[in-house]
Amino acid sequence: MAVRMPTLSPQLPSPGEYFVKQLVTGGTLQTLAEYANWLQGWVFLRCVPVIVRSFAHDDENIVCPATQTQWFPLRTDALTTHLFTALGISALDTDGEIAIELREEPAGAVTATPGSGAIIDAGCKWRETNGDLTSPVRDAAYHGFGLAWHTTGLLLPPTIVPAAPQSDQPRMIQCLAGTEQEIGLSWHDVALNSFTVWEAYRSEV
Amino acid sequence: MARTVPAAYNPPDPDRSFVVGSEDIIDGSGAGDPHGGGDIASAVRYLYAHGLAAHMIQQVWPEDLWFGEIPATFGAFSDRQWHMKADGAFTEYVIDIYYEANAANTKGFRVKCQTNGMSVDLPSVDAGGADRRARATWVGSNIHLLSGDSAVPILLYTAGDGVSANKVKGFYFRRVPVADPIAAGKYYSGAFIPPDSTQWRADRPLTSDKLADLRSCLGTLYSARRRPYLCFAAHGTSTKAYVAALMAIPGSDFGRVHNYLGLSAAAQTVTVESHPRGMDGIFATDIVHGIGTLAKEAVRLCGSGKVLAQGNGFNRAFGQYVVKFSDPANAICCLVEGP
Repeated sequence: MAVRMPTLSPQLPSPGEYFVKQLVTGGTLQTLAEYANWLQGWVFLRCVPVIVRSFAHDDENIVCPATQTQWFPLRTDALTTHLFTALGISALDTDGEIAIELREEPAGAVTATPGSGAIIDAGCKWRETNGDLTSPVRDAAYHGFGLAWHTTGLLLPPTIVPAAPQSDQPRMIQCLAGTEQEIGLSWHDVALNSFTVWEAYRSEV
Repeated sequence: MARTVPAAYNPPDPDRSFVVGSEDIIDGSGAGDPHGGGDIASAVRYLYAHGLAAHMIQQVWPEDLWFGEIPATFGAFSDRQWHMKADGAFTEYVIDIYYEANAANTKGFRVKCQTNGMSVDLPSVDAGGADRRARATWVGSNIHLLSGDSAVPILLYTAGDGVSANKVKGFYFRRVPVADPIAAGKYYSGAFIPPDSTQWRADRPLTSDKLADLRSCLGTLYSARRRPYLCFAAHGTSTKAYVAALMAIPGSDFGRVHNYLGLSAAAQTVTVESHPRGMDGIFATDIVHGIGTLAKEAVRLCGSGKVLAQGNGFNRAFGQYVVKFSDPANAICCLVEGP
C-alpha cells in the first residue's frame, strides 16, 4: 500500500470538525492520518550533529592529524532509508581524505569492539586529490574563518552490494530503518571538526 | 485502559476515512471504525513511544578526554560534565562510552547524575590498545523527577588501579524507546494522553471525544518534540574558541533553536551565531561567521558551574550554527536545544 506522506504541515481540524452531532466528514479523519504521517516523516526524523573537536577562529596553522578513526552509535527512525551527512573541516593537506561507512551494531551487550558489525553500506570517500575536499575560505571581509562543509549530496546510491561496492564517490548512505547501527569515520591529512547526520526517507511508503 | 506500543510505524491511510455513498458524512450512530481511526491511534502511540525517544543526547570532542592518573576508588574524579534534558516520559537511558583500551582498569567508568547522586557503573576496561565500547543501561533513574523539563548535569568519572586511564573518544547518552505498554502517568504534560488500544473497536460508535483526543495528541506530540541539537563538553583544557555544526531539518521551517544551556567555571559570554543556507547541497564553500551577515544571540553564563540563562530563539531553516566562548578554557559544556 502506498501512502502519501505530506511534506508540508497539514492543519489539524478545528473543534467543529470533530463534533459528531454536526457533520463530521471523512476529511477530518483524513487530516488526522496525514498529520500523524507528517510527524513521523518530517518532524521526527533526526538531525544528529557531532562535535569532533573545537577550533580557533583565528588560527590559520591548524595541524592536520595522522589517521583518525571514530565510531558513532545511531538508532535510525522507522521510515529512514538513507543518511545525508555533512562534514566540517578547518584545514586540509595534500592527499587529505575522509571515509564514511555504516555497519550493524557490534556484538556484545556490555562491551564490544566498534566497527565489528556487518557492513550495511561500505560508504564513500572525500579526497583532496580529486577535488572532493576543499580548504576553508579565509577572507579578510570576515572575522577569521569558519569550516568548509562537504556533504554526501543528494544522489541516491546504486543497489548496495556491501562486499563489492561499485563506487566510493560521495553519495547518500543507505541504512536500515529503526535499527541500532554504527557510523564509522576515518580521516587523515584533514582537520575534521564536526559532522552532522540527517535521516532521509522517500515521501511515499 | 490498555495502551500498547506498536513495534512498527504503520502509516494510517488518509484515503480510508472516506465513505463511499455517504456523501462523506460520518455520524455517531454506531458507525464503528470504518474510517481508520484505530490506525491513527496506533500511529499516535508509536510516535509517543518511539519518535521522541531515541535521539542522541550527548557527544564530546575526543581531544580533551584524556583522564590522567586516577585513584584506586571512585570519588576523586576527573569530572566531565554535561547537560541532558530531563523528561517525564522516558526513564530508561542507554549510555555508550567509546574509548581506547590502553591500560587495564578493573573499575571502568561511572556516570553520575550530579543532582540526585544516582550513578551507574560501566564495565571494567581491558588492555590492548584497540577501541572498545562500554554500554550500560540506566533504568528508573528518576532523572525526570528532578527538574522537569530543564537540564540535568551528568558527570563522567573514571577510577581503577592507579594506572593511567584510557582516552574517551565518545560519550553518548540516549533515551530508550518505550517498549512495554505505556504506563499511567508517564505522559507529556499538556493535553496528551495516548489513545486507548481498544476504544476504536468496530462495535463502538464514533464520538467527538475520540476525535478530540486524537487531535490533541497530535498537537502535543508536535509541540513536545524538542531535541538537543548541539551538545559538547570540555573542561579546563581547551584553548579553542569555536565549535560548529550544521543543524535543522531539511525541507521544513523547524530550525528554531529554543534554548542555550551550559556550564562554566567562570563568568563569560557565549555567542551562538547562525548562517542560513539553502537546501541545495551547496553550502560547502564559503560559510564563515561574519558578524555582519549572521543572526546572533548572546547568552550570559553564570559562574561556578551554574546553569546558563536561556536565550531567545531564532529561526533558520538550515544552516551552520557556530558557538563561541569568550573564555573557552573555563567552558564545561553547552547545549543548544532545538524544537
